[in-house]
Amino acid sequence: MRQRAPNAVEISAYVDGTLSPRDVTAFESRMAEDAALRQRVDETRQVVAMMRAMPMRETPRNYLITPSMVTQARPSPAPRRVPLFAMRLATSLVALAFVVTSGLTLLQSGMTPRMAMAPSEAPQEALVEEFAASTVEVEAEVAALEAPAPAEDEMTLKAAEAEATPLAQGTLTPEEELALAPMPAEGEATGMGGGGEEIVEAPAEPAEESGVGGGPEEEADAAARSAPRTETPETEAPAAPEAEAPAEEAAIAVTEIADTEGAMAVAEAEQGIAEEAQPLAAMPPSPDGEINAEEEAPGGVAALDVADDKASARTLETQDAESGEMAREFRALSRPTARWAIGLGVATALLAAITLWMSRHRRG
Amino acid sequence: MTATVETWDESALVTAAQRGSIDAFNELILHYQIQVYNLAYHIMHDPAAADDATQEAFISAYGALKHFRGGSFRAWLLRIVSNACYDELRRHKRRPKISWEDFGDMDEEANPHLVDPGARPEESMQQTELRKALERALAKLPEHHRTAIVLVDSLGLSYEEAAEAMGVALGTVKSRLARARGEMQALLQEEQELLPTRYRL
Repeated sequence: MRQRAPNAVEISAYVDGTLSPRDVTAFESRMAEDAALRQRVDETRQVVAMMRAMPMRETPRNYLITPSMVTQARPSPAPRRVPLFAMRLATSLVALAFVVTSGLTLLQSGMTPRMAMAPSEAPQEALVEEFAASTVEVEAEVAALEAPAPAEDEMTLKAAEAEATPLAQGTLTPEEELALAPMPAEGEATGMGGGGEEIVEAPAEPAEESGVGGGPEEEADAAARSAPRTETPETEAPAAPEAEAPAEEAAIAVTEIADTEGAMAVAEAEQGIAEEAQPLAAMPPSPDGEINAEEEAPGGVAALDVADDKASARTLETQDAESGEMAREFRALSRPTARWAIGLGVATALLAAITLWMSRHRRG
Repeated sequence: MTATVETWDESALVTAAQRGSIDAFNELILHYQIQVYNLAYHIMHDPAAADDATQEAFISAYGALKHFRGGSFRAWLLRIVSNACYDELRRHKRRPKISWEDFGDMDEEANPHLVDPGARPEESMQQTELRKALERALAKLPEHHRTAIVLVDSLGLSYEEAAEAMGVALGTVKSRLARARGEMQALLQEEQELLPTRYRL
């Protein structure tokens, strides 16, 4: 019976000497008869010899380990999970808080758009309300300018009578008459601001020189005492002593001009103040402004004040009612949002602190 | 340390290392690091990757010493490094990179570790030619065949140790080794002219 040809495993085992003695005998008897088998065995031996002769590569370094390398290399995965989980939870809660807060804010804005703006834009809204209030005040003042016209007329007539009486009696000198009419100039001074300094200076001189800053009567007395030194009235009212009727008309005209300009000046000044969002009452009384205008035209200013007060009262009442209602609505809507936001913020902060503490604890 | 070379007691060192002695484990490292590195190199074909794999294998081995239940410590160590190399190779397949061997003839000049300063020039040249021819042929083998022939023929492990190092049955080692040798013989036959005279088939 012919034996089968040895396979590669048997040749390799024969070369390595791992065959059993009986298999070695059988293999060698086969090899004696088979030249090809002998060649294969020789080739295998050559390969093994070369592999064993192959020089080993030198290591580029020593691989000695240190305690620090061992501790770095042995991070157990279990401790990582808890901080990771906590961090994930914290992140999820933060995202949830954001979504809830945003949703509530959007819900509020959908219900009452002004309410939604209130928390973030409260200062701006306050300014807008102040501006609206001042606008209402200015409107009320404009209305007041028109409303007290009869009173002004009365006052004007009285003043004209008072001034015309001495004129008609011929007891007043032209200087005294002129001294009675610094009103237009002072009215301009109060209304125009810095627009006419020359006009302000000229009529103020008599009062300054006499040392009295008072009303027309005092000014008239002072002007009468200092008549020779007064120069400007000569040019401003040269036709005063001409006749009674023209003088009366002139006096009335002058008073009317004073009244109108004074009231206009007050209105303009108050409008300017209102535009600057500063309360009128908070303004210090200027020496040549409102007080002089009041002194010169007490009836018109008083009417203005009354109208002012009424308009301001109405405005304040309206404002109070609106702002109170808005505040109540805002409070009612913002309370749950604030609670939610605060609660979620506290929870997130707690989780972050726990995560940080746990990570440090594990590391330590 | 010289005393430990003369009185080499692997089991005592392993026991001491299992009790936490890093010095004992370092003794084992010094003894086996060349074999571990060469196996890693033949699997990876990249000195830098073999270097990393060797270091990682020793660190992992120290951490896993409590799982060593006796037998061949060398086979256990080589199994750790071979597994680390295969894992790394799988990662390399996902993100391939240029191997040191891709530079061809630059190998010798660029890597001073390959030059044996103590060898005679002619002998050193023959050794270098032989190694290069074998490494080229080994690189063409399937991974498991290459590991088997390196473990048995180059590192001198027994079939049993190789089976333990590879984590396979003894018969598998025999068959892989036989096929690897046959493939190597065919490959070297093609490069007869590149082999030193005394090694030509």
